[in-house]
Amino acid sequence: MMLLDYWSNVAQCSYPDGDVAVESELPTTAEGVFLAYAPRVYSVARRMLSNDTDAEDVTQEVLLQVVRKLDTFRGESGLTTWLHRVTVNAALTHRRKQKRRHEHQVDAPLDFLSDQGNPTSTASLPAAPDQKLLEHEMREVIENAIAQLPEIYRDVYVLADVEGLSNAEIGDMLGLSIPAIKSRLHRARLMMREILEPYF
Amino acid sequence: MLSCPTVKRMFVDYFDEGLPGEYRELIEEHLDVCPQCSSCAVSYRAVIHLTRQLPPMPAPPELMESLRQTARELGLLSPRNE
Repeated sequence: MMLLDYWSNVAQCSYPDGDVAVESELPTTAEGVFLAYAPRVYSVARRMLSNDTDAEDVTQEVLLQVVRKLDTFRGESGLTTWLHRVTVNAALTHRRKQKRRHEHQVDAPLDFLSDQGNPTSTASLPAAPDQKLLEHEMREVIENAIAQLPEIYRDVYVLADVEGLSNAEIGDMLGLSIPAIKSRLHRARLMMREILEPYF
Repeated sequence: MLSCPTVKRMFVDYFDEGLPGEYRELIEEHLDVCPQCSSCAVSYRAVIHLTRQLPPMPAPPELMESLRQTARELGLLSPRNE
């Protein structure tokens, strides 16, 4: 199955979006917060950071903040927006800390040289499809393509095309102008096309 | 008629429904007669659509237990919260 065939199939159905909690149904316990928000927070962090452990750290940090501030949101709207903002900030801060840590590593092992930031690398791509790929494999192909985007493009792409946030919201979160958001989004989509070209 | 680079630069607004009708028509006129841009538009749109269909990445099962453990250590899992 090629991506365009897969597209025509998925267009007929929808996946659960993971937004278990909405403002009108705020969880009242820490356990409730974890169950309601962990999937969405983890998912955003994982896609931005392309690393399981980093995403877990960020999820933990964000959800503990939510538990601490839960009373602030009683009867108020905007928790989902706040959650996105806190997650994005936590992910960006985490990434900056990681970079500083790596910069201080004098004897970095060779395997530290990751392929992140190189859109043409195929290191994390699955093997070329000699046979029809199953649906979940298609999703993996797309996730791997996202992970290969350079960070500045990946951040915008994840927030815009995966999370469906508006350009204004993204600009606010990332401190970018609307033209800058559009430019990065366009570049990201073109890179995605390029990476996914063998599958079209 | 719009040039190919101009049309491609406008894709981001075209596919995000951010273009006024007259510009949309100009792009569509171009796509009708330009196979290269038309092909690019199909895959550009497919990339957007496929990405928007992605389900959340599943959180590792051990993450929930790790969250509970940390919350417990920080005293956030009080009888009221737990």
